[in-house]
Amino acid sequence: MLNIRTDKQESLVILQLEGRLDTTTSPQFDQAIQPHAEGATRLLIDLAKVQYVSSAGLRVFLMTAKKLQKTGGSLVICAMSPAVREVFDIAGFSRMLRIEADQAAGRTALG
Amino acid sequence: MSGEQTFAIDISRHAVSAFADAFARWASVHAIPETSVRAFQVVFDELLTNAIDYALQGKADALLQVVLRPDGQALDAWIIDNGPAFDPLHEAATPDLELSVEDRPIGGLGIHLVKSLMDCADYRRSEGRNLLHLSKRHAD
Repeated sequence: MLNIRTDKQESLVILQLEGRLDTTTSPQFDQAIQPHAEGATRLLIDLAKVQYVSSAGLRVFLMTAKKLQKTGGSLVICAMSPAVREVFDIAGFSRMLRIEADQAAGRTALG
Repeated sequence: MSGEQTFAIDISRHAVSAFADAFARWASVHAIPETSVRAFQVVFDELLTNAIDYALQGKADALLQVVLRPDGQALDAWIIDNGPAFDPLHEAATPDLELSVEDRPIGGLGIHLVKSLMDCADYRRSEGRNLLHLSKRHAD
């Protein structure tokens, strides 16, 4: 199960996810995020209500980060639970992607 | 009562998702700590999806089971399938975790997550079945 709420404020796009990011739900996440992974979009993904992320979910983050890097956009991920953070740490994503404590810090990081 | 439970998994992505829910309910009944639950949910997603996609797809008498055994301070699980002999733990090298975003390849993370999230992961083949054993001690 995955619910996604999208808020768009000019070039800032915030996606709030609820549920889990696994093999079944990652295609839905990918469909929701890809239209925003373009240009100079500042993309903030809020994971406060995400129970866990498997490698399928990590792939979507990586593909999105790669795309935005080429187009001049930015990606920040915020509000990870310890379980989600552990998966990002193990995968080496924590040092590669920008991660903030909450939405406020995420917005500041995106400028 | 040992609390051991066997789940039969249908050969479909939907069944993997349904099992994630069933496991969470079972874990709640057996007071498995959340850190262990989340770790196993990630690992089950990786390994069950692999078994369905690569070993069992189109197989007439496909069998896929998860056996759970709570053991006080730890949880042991076995994933059992009757696909061709295959040890997923030796399938791929550890990914290079130092690469930057642009250089990082998309794949190669699933088994690395399994080995890192579990305290123990081992494979054996027995009587035409692949048996993958997983174990994790609960955090203090």
